[in-house]
Amino acid sequence: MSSLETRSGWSVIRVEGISHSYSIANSVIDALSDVSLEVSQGEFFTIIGPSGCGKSTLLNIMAGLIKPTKGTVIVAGKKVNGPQPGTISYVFQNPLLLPWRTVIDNVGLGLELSGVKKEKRREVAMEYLKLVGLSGFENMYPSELSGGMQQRVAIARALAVNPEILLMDEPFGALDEQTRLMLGEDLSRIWMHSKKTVVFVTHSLAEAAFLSTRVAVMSARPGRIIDVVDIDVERPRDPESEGVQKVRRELWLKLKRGIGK
Amino acid sequence: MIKGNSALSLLQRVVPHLIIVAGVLLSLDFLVRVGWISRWTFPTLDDLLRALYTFGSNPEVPHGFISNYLTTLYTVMIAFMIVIGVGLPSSFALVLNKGARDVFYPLILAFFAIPAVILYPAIVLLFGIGIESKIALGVLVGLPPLIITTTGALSYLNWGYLRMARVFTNSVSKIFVKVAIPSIFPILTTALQLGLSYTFVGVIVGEMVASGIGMGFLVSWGNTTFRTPIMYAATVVVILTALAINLTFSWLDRRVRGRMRTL
Repeated sequence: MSSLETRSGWSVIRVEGISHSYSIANSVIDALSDVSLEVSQGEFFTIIGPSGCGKSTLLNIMAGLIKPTKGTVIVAGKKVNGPQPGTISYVFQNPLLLPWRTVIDNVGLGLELSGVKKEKRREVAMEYLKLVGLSGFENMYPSELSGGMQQRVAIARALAVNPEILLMDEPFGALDEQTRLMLGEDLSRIWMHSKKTVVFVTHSLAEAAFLSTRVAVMSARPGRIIDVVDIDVERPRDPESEGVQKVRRELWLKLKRGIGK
Repeated sequence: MIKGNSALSLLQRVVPHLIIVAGVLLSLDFLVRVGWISRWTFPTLDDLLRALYTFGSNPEVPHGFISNYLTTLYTVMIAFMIVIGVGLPSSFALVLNKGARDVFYPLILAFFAIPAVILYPAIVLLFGIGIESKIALGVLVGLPPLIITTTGALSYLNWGYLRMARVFTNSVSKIFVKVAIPSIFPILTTALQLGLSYTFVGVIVGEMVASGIGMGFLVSWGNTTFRTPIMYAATVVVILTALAINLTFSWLDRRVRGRMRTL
């Protein structure tokens, strides 16, 4: 039983009073202001907000990649002071695949860095390649794949280390709409299959409405949480269904209020 | 089939170079034979080939060919290991520490601009005429180009890769070995190639100026004792060794670059 399973029903991630500022060209930018939120185990928690509101900064702080100016993040009962290999995995907007490695070696990178033996990592990597629909592509190089396929490899790489929490920073942001829709459906299926806790940052209200169990809406900079919306549309969801569209409209109204329109 | 094609394409690439080299050598041979160039200045091709063929068994060669050749290779290897051991960490330190970079990088650039061989008399006074002084000169000549090129290579480092790898491990050395070094490998091979070539030059020059053994010494000894065929045979061996090193690095570089296609 993992450390998180013992806390089932508890908050896996607790963000407490996070504020963050940084300097650019002698001026101080306040990115986040007193952000607090909780994410439960197994949730698909999405953060939306206007451009530059600090969504990605907040995710990086949760991942331990950025130290906040003020406040704390507690993951699985422990204060976050840096990255947490094995507990938290991260999917970046850019797939960041290593071009000199084949697809299977990219998927196995996290396992390799964790010291897993070659045979085992090959077996696990093949399993996750199958999960993201890329069986048969294992010996290709990243440059031979489309943008959507590269992002699938990045998702497989993040999942292959069997993290308890998956953080995703606009992973479909650079893709065309058709690919986004397909990957969104795949991600929904993978999440239902794996039951991982997912924290997902996106610009797309449709994606947020379709994928999430809850959505945090952030204000313009300095980012604050202005509302957290529960989404109880039944799964499997249809992105065109009235339920999902209704949530999308609701999120848009809240977002507009956050921007101040 | 593929191997046959690549061998053919290599042959096609090399043939023009071989024709030019053969043309130059045959022209020199002709000029020697007709008396326009003295045999003391340049041997005929058959004399040169004979000197090369009998190099290993020629009793005239001080210490024998093998000892001279191995001494040079050993000296270059030691000097290059020092160049790598000092050069690579220094380059990383210069990239990571702006203060150090601002102080030391202009000095390294300035040092690269001066002919380091001018310091050789001082080095000989310090280390004597044994291999230590050749190692020192090789390091002084090889270190600046390696540091300058590696520092440049590190500016191509994709910090996103390091951030991604950081999510999977807390081990800086693993990130360094599995991600950072491979990501700059194509440019790093160029830096190592330059560093080795310059180190080789430094060692050979050191051996030519003040030494009792080594390929540079043989060239210098052949020159001062008018054993011209031996001098040229030693020169040819040095050239072929340098070419072999260069070709090895080029092959390595091509292999790696083939895989480093930009996303």
